[in-house]
This record gives sequence, structure tokens and C-alpha cells, in this order.
Amino acid sequence: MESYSAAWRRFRENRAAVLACLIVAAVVLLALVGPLVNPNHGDALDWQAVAVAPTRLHAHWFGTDRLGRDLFVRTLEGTQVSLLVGLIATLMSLVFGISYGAVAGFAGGRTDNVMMRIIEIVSGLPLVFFVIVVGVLFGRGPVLLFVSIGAVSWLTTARIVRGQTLSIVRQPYIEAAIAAGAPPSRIIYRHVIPNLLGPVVVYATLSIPQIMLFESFLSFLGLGIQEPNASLGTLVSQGVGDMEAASWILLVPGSLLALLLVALNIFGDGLRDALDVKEA
Amino acid sequence: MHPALRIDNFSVRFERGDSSTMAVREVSLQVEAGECVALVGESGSGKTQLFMAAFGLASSQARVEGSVRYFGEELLHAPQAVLNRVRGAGIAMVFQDPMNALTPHLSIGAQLIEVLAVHGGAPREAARSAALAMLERVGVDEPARRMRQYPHELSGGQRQRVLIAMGLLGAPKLLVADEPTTALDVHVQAQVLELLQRLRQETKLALIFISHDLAVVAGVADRIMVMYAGRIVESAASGALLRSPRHPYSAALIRCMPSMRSPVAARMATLPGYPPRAGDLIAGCAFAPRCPKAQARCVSERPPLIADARGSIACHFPEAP
Amino acid sequence: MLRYFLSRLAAAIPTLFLIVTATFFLMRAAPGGPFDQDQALPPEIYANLQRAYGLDRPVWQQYGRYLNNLLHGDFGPSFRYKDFTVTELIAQGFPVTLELGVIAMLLALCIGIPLGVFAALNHNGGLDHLTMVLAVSGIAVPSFVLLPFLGLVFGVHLHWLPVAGWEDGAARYLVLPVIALSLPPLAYIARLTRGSMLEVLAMDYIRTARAKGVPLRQLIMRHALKPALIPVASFLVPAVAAVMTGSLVVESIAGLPGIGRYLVQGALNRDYTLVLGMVILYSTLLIGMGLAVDLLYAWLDPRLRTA
Repeated sequence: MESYSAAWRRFRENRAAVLACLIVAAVVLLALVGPLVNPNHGDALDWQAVAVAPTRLHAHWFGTDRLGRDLFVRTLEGTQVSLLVGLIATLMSLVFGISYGAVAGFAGGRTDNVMMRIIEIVSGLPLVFFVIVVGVLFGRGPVLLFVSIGAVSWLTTARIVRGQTLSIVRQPYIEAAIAAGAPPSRIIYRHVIPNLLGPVVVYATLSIPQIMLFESFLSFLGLGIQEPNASLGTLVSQGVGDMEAASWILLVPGSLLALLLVALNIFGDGLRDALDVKEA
Repeated sequence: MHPALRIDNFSVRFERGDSSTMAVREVSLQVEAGECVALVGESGSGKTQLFMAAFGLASSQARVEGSVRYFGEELLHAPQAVLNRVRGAGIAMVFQDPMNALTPHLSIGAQLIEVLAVHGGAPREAARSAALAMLERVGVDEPARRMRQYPHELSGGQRQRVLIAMGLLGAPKLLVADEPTTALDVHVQAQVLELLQRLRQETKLALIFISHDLAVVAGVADRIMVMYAGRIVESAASGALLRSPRHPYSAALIRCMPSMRSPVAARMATLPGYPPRAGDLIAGCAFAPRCPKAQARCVSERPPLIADARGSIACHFPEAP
Repeated sequence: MLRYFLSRLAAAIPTLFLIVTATFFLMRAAPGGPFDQDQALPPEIYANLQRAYGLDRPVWQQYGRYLNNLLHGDFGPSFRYKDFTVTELIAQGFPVTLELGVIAMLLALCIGIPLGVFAALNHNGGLDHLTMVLAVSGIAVPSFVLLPFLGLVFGVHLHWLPVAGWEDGAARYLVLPVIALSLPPLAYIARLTRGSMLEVLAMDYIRTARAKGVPLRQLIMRHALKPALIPVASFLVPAVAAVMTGSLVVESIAGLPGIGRYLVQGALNRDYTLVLGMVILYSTLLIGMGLAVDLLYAWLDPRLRTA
């Protein structure tokens, strides 16, 4: 489509977004490759070097934590975990949100009314508190983490997708196709989904940092990723405890988390402007 | 005595990113106190942008050049304080499309009284009764109730009348009305036009009508200026222009007037093609691609606007008067 | 409008009921109970405790009794903080949480809105770009990262402000938590205000007002601000929710004696009544905020008054 090449041009002209995109790419690459090239192992305890500060000469580039674990490797592995959780939970919220929204928008009428009313009620609930309570009560496995994050974030996706679907279905050529007896599955597949691509990509890109933030929040509370694994949120939470004596244990994962989230947001905003998607 | 409005060599350019479009090109015009002139052209000809930009109401991307003088006072690039003093009191503007032209969360009364309030005028009670009286004069029924109502509670025609009342409330010396009567029914239209005529005589109000329709302005304007693609292409006294237009574009507009139109003639008179877009570079006459009389010279060389006893004309091959 | 508001008010009660019911049964469905500790209690003491708190009865009976007490304004005793009722615990901590939250929200509104307005007036200028950078960072950086960073800079290194503590609510202990808590909503509000102000400034009625000679200040305050604030009003409920959840971590990092700790601690301890009390409090606040926003809409836009 010609609109995509125009969008690509607009995106390239947005220097902040391009820079953010490069930063995200660099962080992802570093997270994937970094732990491999560093001689230290993430959960190896180095009792000769407990909570040492980062120095260039030292074997531990970013220092170590309380248990003598290499912070460079641990932070990058934490980044991997955070990114993975962000991706999987976003995917889950997308799959559920898109199906729900597409069905509501395509069905229209009463079905749509009821489905939208449900969304309205659910979004009025203090879901975050539920997630916290459920997380505490029913153990803290990764599955529950994905489900609870997905449960909170699918609402917006569903709303966006439903609005888009409605406006697409009302296009004269779609109305004509429906009247001519084209099967709904074909219309959804051929017309609705391709037209949803732009907004959904934009929304997904903006969701990833939000979900990563939420995951790190849960992990900070001790409800997310459990030891010996760690996400950036877990690492920040550990760093806070030691911050006065060994600030780098907080600063290293904290800065990386902040950098990654800011870059992902700017990248998502740039994508939104380039694809000209209205803010939800 | 200075003319009410004198515009010289006025151009408006819009800059978006690295592209720039020319909405108004080197326009000069003059309106005397008590005079009524009409500016006619298709939508997109720049006639609205001309006055918006002249009075500092265009968007921030607009770049203006030239000179705009109100009774001798330069308005272009004047400080905001000067513009705010002149706008609403000396120069009033009535806009078309009354849908969104009134602030939704302020009552009609509040918006009318504001005109007098910002120009440091009458005490509140006096302003209120002045607003009430003006609503009545422009044909708003139940003015006292309307004062308390919000814009969304009024019909489109009512809102248009409120806008006219708002324009007249500051006792302006110059009124620019952009398609002011299109939303009104014939009876109210006549009433408003009569009120404007009376104000012209009583207060020497200078009137500028902006319209895409010659028929609307034919009866009221002393002088008609025809605008095409950001330029004035012909200007003459109303009667002369309507009787014997010199520019082929003016002639085409006149042929499109409903009163001149028999069913067969109407079909023949529709103007083929479209006006150029504001961003296009035009070497010759902008109308040449649509002009039945165009020749090679029209495409390559732009005809200058030449003033004479009858008005002014920009055409290499004008019709003989 | 009044009818709409009353219907929303009426809908709030079943919603609350639903929340209470869901939370109640969720808690009971979870493994473990309030008296299952690391060291098992002697069976007779355990049974006595269960009986004393009515946990030996069928769940639906407990539910009925709880609802009945609730209707009489009794949130029940805490199962873990012995000698305290839930009401007492909340009454002790809530003023701290409320103070923190209200100041953070006010700060977010009082700085976010003007920032957004000035950014819009300075469209594509330096202040505009600066605001957008601040907005993106504020939205992206979580308060539990920001607060420790602020603590490091202003507490550990500069010694200007305490890193954590309370001391009966001395203002300097609140400064950093309030900043950390208010920055995300502040950033979001600034961005929303800027966007909607740009849209409003392009409206026809702004042109009409300018044509009347209305000076800039009055143009913004009288004509543009109210419509531009409608998206901000819509954001108030999520903002309050964000400040509430943010204060869970901010209180724990800064060592403030608010009620934030009760939610997670209460759930960990299976302190059924305390968690229910917290959920009811938070839900009521959010639903109340939603109702307030409905009224706010009517004030901002008269078209919604007749609807």
C-alpha cells in the first residue's frame, strides 16, 4: 500500500523516534548477546566480590549485588525477562482484545451494546487491586502473571478494535459485500483485519512499555518474577534496599528500565504519528 | 480622509514543513467609509483567507506580506494589543458556518456582552440592554430567553443572527461578512440586509461581502471584485460588471447565476475543470486551463491587473465593454 | 442530567456489592488461612481462634454475617493485627495515604494543566518540545524507580531531604514521595491538555472570540480552557487509580505509615477482613471519583446537561 511508504517516510523524518528505535534495538541486542560474551554467569555467586562497585578493571563490569552475582549479566538477563513478559502479555491482550472487539464491531446492534456494556463495567472495577490480591493469594507463577496482566490490558485493545471495525463495516463497499452474501469470515479476513493493522501495531507498540511497567511494578511488590529469575522490576526492588550503601545495585537496572521504557514510548508515539492513528 | 480599508500588495503564504502554499497573491484593494463591496470567487480562491490573514486571524503557519491599513493605521505585523483594540470595535467579522462559531459553554448573552466588555465600554446593565436590542434588530425572536440559552439550544439560522448581532454590537466602522445570509431564510435575509443598508447610511459603515455566489451580492454591493486562485482578476461597479464582464471568468460566473439560467443554458454554462491548487506554480494566467479563449500567451505570461476608468482587469484578451 | 447522575449513583451500589462478593470468595478460595503460620499452632488453639473469628462456619454463613456487619458499618476485626478492627487500622493509616495522594493529584493538575496550555500556545517551540520530553519521561518512568533515584540525589548525595521516614508528617518527608507519585499523572495531564488545547484553538469559536478583540489571556481562560479540559476530566479516574497503586510502592520505599502496605501484607497473611476493607475503600474512592467526573462533564459542557 502506498500509505505505508508515506508512513515510513514520515517515521524516518522523526529524529527522536528513529533514535528511540535504535536505542530499543541496541538494548534488545545487548540483552540477547551481552550475557553470552561476558564470562560471568547470572546466578553464579562470587563470594570474593560481594557488593563491589563497578570499575573498568574489575571482572564485574557493573559491579555485583549482595550475593556477589554479576550485575551486568543479571541486569541483561532481567531485561530479557522483562521484554519477554512484555511481548507475551501484549500478545495475549491483543489476541483477546482483537477477537472481542472485532466480534462486537462486526455483530453490531444488541450484541455490540451488551459487549460494550461489559467492557464499561469491567473497566470501572479496580482491576489492579484485584490483580495484586489474586497474585498474592494464588502463588506467583508466570502463567498467572500473564493472565492477570492480559486481563487488565485487553480492554483498551478491544475498544479500539471495535471502533475501527465499526467504521470499516459501515463503508459502502463492505455493506455491498455483506448484502451480496459474502461470508463474514471472508469479510473479516479480507477487509477488516488488514485495515486494523495500523492502529493495532501502534497500540501494541505502546502497550509493551505499559505492560513492562506493570510487570515491573508487580515484581517490585514481590508478586511477579520469582528468584532465582529476575525481571528489571525485581532488580530495582532489590536495589532499593541497598541503595544507600551500594547505589549501583539500584542505578544499573533502574536506569536501563527507565531508558527502555522511555525509548519504547517515543518509538510508539513516532509510529502513531507516522501511521496517523488517532489516540485512543 | 483615509479609506476605511486599504490593502496593498498583500500576499499570504502557508508553510507546513518544507512545503509552502500561496493562498493570496499580491492583492490590492480599497474600501471607502459607507461603501459596500463584494468579493466573489469559488471556494478555495483565497477570499476568506485574505481577510483572516489581513486582520491577524489566520493560523500561525500563515506568512503575510504587504500592507493592510484601517483608516490609515497599519495592521499588518501590528502588536496584538492594537489588533485586539481594532477587532470587534472598529472592524467586525461575521463568519459563515454558525455550527461551531459560538463558544459552546458560554451563554449567548455572555458572548454578546463580552464584545462591549473587552472594549471597555458600557456598564453591565447597559451592555445587557444593548445586546438585547441588537438581537431584536437582527430578527431573533424571544431575545430575552435567547440571552440565557447556550448555542446548542438555538437553530442554525438563530445562531447566524446572533453572530451578526455580535458583529454589529461593537458599532464597527467596517464589517466583513463571509457568506452571512446563506443560513437564513429569505425573509430574515431581507431584514438583515435592510439593517445593514441603514447602518451604512446612518453610521457610514463600510461593508465587505464575501460570497461564492454573484446572485447574493448583485443587489447590495456598489462594487464587485472577482477573485481567482488568490488574485483579483476583475473589479468594477456592480451594474457594469454584471452587464458586461470583461474577464472570461467573471462572464462564466454570471452565466452560472440562477436568475440567468434556463435549464439548457445552465448545462452549457457549467464551468469545466477545476481551479488550480494553492500550491501549484503558475507561470501564466491561472484561469487559462479552463478559459475558452485561452491562447499560448495566456499560459506563458501572466496578465497584469490594469486599472482604468471602469475598474481593473487582468486579462490578455478581455471582452470589450 | 440529574436522572443520568442518579442512575449512575444507583448503579454504583450493585457494582460495589459485586466487588465485595468477588473479593470475599476469592480470598476464601485461596489456599491457607489467617492462622496458618510458619510454625503450626497447637490444634486446640487453632480451633479456638477459628471459632472466635467465625471461620468454623460454612462459607456462605460467614458471607452473610460479613455483609450484615458491613451494612451496619462494621468492617470486622483484623485477623492478623490482633486487638485492632479494620476500621481502626484504616483510620490510622488513611490520613497519611490521603494526604500523599491528594497533594500528588493537586500538584499533577496545577502544574500539568498550565504546562499543557503553555506548550500548546508555544506549538513547535522550545517549551513545547521540552514539555513533550518531560511528558514522555514522566509517563514512562515508574514511580518506584523515580523515588529511589530522587532519594539518591537529594538524600544520599546532597543531603537536602530525607530519603525515608515520617516523623509525624513533617513536610520534608513528603516532598520526594509526592514528586515521585505526581510525576506520571502530571506528565499525562500535560500531554492531554496540550493535545486538546491545540484542537480547541483551531475551533471556529476561538476565531470568533479573537475577531471580537478578546485578549489572549481571556481567550484561553474563558473560551478555550473548559472544552480543553474534557479529556483531562476523563483521565481523572485512571489518574486516581494510578496514584493509589503508586502509593502502594511509594509508601513502602519512603517508609510512610499509610495504608498501602495493608493490601499486599493483608493478602499475604490471609487477613480476610483487612483486604476486603481495603478493596472496598479503594473501590468506593474510584466509583466516587467517577461520579464526580460525571458532574464535572456537565460543568464543562452545557450540551451534556440536557443529555
